[in-house]
Amino acid sequence: MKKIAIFVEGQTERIFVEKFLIEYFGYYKIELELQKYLGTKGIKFLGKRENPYAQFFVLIFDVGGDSTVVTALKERAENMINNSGYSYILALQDLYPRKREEKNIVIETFGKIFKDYFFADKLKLILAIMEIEAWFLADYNLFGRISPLATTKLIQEKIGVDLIHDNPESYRHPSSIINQIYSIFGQKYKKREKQSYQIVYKIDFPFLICTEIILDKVSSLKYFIDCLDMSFS
Amino acid sequence: MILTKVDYFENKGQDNYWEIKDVNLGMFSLIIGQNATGKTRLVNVISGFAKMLSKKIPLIQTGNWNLKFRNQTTNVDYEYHLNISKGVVNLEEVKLGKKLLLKRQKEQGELFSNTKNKMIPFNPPEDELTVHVRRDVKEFPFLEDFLRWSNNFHGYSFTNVKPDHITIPGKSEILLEDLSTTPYLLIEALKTKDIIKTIKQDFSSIGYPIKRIAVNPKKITGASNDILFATVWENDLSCTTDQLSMSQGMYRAFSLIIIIEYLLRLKKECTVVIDDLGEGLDYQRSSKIIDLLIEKLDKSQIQLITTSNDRFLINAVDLKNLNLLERKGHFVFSYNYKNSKEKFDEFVYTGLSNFDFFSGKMYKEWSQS
Repeated sequence: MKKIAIFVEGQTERIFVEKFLIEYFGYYKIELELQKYLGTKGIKFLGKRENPYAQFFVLIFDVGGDSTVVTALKERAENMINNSGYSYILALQDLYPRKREEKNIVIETFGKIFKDYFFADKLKLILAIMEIEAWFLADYNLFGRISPLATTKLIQEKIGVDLIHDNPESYRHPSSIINQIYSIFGQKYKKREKQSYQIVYKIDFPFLICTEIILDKVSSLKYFIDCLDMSFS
Repeated sequence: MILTKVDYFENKGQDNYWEIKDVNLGMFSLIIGQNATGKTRLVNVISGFAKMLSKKIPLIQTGNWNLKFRNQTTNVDYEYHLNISKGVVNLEEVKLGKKLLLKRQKEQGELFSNTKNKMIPFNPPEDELTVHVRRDVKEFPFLEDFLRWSNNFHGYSFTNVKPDHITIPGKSEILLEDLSTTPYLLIEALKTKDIIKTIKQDFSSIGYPIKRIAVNPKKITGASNDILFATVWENDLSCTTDQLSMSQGMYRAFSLIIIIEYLLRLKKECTVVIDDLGEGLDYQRSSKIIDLLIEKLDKSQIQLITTSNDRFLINAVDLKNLNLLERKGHFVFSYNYKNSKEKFDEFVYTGLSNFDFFSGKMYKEWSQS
């Protein structure tokens, strides 16, 4: 069974990636394990979706608030690839708070950090531009499913954001756009666990994954899918 | 006035020579370095200078301080150079920008008189600092700046705070000298409105939720007077916990929170140095305490200089606030944003934690290796 790890920088990303994999590959193909890094307290085992028929095992590793995706990768990648049989490790993080024009420097610097490791080509950095919330916003009907007060039309009227025609990667701070949308129906987007599940489980994944016009616009989401295809091939 | 730069050496040319160079400081600075690099020694260099200036300790026998200060009110930069050897002041020099305000070698010197608008000669005893022999608020106001700074300097060691170590302050100035005066400082603090409420909030915010704080006298065998002990009532306990029953980490955090809140309410410009911040606290609380201090002191008049090796504490601060000490033999160099800007800026793009910057020595030529 092929083993892949995906390092994510927080709870929202962890919940999104778990759901995304199930939607993209289907339950029958993958086995999932979820872990969270807790600093000196070690690693918390968050759960496992076992599947004796799975072709792929995926570890989703949430680095939590006390480390970063790249630090966790630097500390663990060699052992995971050398001794634990992982074929690829994907590192998913937001480009924010770095600026859009700094994207290439971030990618080049990532390359420099790992250039001397024999497994450098097994590591892939995926930068959500500017935040993973941009991928949520790409599903422009998502918020109408959360509240009838948040249709694309009402969102445009109330906060001046055209979700249908905008490229969500053009937003400087996508999570603050989501917060503004939530304010339309009297809530705040605080990224709490329950809220992350609420928003992720309302996403129309087939729409995100299969709509060409969306993938053409949201290049970082497309790159994430390309990396998954490459790792799982 | 805040301290902005430290260069120091002692015993040059001798076996016990020691030098530290290029420590650049801001309103908040975290000094990090491996064990035995010189963090505590740096703290002692700064504290020693301040305490000598404020006459809390006698003249240090040997040392060469080259310090820079910034007067935040007037936006002027001072440079103070002091060389003492075997208890004799060999050199004392103060500059305001490029303008010389004081130059003195042993018993010969001259200092700038504001009222006469020229340098005037003076002959201080060779074992005294100028601030201790020539004071005049109108004629030599710059000397007052240094005295004010040294009188409002507070140096604490987080590691030395122990629940069973209580200092009974003989006079009120000693209250702020040490973190071991906590119960007595609490009594003083109680006179200030709402302070207990804030202390409870702060203590809760770092993971010690409490509903009550009190100070109780206790009779101790052999002591002529009752000794005061602090007590807290934690939210999830049905009884109070006196300071002797608190863990070291808890009591250290408690003492620090009280003193910082007290200093904030004095609304005075001051420099606070804390050695080994976070020592004894678990990782969540050590990063929370630094977050709390940064938030509380933001826009205050308190300059905070701390040392630590705590990974989570280092990760919790802005990289630009770090001084990374590296020692080669007798010489310690401090890498910081001012002297290694390119490396600091480059590191931001790595996505790594601050601790990697330190542990991987990435403040040096990592990317070209």
